[in-house]
Amino acid sequence: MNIIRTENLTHIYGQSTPFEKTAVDNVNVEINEGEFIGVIGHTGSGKSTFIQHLNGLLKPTSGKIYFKGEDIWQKKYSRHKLRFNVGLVFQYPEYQLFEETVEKDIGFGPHNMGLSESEIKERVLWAISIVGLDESILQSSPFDLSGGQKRRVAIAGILAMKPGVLILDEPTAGLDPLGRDEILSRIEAYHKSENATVMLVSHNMEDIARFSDRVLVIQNAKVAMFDETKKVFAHSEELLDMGLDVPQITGIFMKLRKHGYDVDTSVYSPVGARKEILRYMKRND
Amino acid sequence: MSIIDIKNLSFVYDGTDREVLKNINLQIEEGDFVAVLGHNGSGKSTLANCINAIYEPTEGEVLVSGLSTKDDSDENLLEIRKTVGSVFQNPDNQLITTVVEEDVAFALENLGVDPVEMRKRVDEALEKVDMSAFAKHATHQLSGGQKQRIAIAGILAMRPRILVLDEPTAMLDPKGRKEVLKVLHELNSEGITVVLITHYMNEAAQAKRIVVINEGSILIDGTPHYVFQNAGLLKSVGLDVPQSTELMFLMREEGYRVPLAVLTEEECCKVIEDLFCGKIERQF
Repeated sequence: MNIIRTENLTHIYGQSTPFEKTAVDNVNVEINEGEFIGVIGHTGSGKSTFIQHLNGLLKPTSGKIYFKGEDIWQKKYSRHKLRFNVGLVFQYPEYQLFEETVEKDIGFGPHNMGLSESEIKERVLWAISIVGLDESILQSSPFDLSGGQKRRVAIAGILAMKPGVLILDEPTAGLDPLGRDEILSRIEAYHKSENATVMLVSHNMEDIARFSDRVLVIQNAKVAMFDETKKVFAHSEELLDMGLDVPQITGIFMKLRKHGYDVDTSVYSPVGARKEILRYMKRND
Repeated sequence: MSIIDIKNLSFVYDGTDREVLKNINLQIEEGDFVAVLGHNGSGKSTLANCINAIYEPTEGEVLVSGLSTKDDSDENLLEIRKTVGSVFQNPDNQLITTVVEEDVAFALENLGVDPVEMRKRVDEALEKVDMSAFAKHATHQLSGGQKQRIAIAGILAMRPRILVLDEPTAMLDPKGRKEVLKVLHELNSEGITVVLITHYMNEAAQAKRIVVINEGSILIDGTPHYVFQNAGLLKSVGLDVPQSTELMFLMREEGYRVPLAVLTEEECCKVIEDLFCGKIERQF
């Protein structure tokens, strides 16, 4: 059953001005409950504009967005509540920390949900454990933390609302490999433990390949592809033409195929590559 | 003489007692392309700021083209900063004016360069970063990669011999990243020494030399092939290896005697073809 569905979703910036630009063009997608979706597209493709529609931050110029079957722009629909269910983590979310203490910052969302003090406390402790930080930092000022810690506190602030849908816009930008792996594995843990739907926007194809069930490719404001991860990376040539990267392994297998070897070019991980190499060798033994 | 000569460098931030850099010895030759790898907090940015004389060594010495960064007279520091150009992570923090060519001319104006000469240098610098067509554009309308190339052009206009770049591509998309790296390699081929601080392994793999910093000390130093052979060590300090290198380790586990440090798609493709043709021995 789909949790989010868009119907002819279109967003035009600066309509009827000389700067008119269609950032989202007639997008129809269905996202199922519990899926992990990777979202890719180069800068300016419209992917950030698109995701900001999913929790009602932006109003479509035309078209509809349904959350659990309900039109989120119908009269009397509470978009305030919607935002507790669809959590959006912006790029560089640490710039949005503002409270005096880490505890208050993470508790801000639950507080707005109208939860009791004890429930808020519980949520804060839970969220901080999910992002892998120690309770001892709860009384620190968020501004005294390292960059990686700030990022995790900012993500904890969204997780504390326990959103059924978690959307993250390049959550690992600017982090080192260790920081990147930590954050992504925490997000995956949340996805698994809560059966949460996750949408991950990233330029890092290896990460997209590793975590996503399906990949949504946005190009020039339109959906260029939306399919299982393996099937999307099987269209590597097209992805490259769009100015996107493909995982290095996929690139290697594309080259092998060009050299006349009948290998599967939809592999995207070292483990998958080993399997494919062994399979090929066995077949041609 | 090495263009950068770092001797027994230690660095402690004022008001703290933690040694961020511990007894670093590093010589960089003119014309080299050195990638400095390390995780967040490893001390790699501090090292960069010691080379361009933003920080003065707590102990030891940094010589840039023979000039010590410890001598904080205006003439000496000016000379060092003319020799070493710095580019930082966030392009938005480095552009000052509203028009591209004015931004590139900013340092030259401060240096009191003659207007005719200035025009020439600005045009040249924009040409080198492939941004001539944008000379009259507004800086805020550029993409991240374009902004970063303008920041580089502003430095080039001063004609430095060394470029020190602290994660210049961290905030860019893949396209912007490629644009910046291409410019750096072109500049290096013209003789400019490049010190690139990064945590992108594929960027480091393109360098001539990689220096890995961990906990304030040099962990490994050598060619990319040498450094990436030590995949286990790199991973243990929170760094990555290219997928191709990882695949080679997996094939070794299967008993095939493949080379370990395989960095590019071409190299890896060649090894797999050798495997397919039975040219690679199997141990078990």
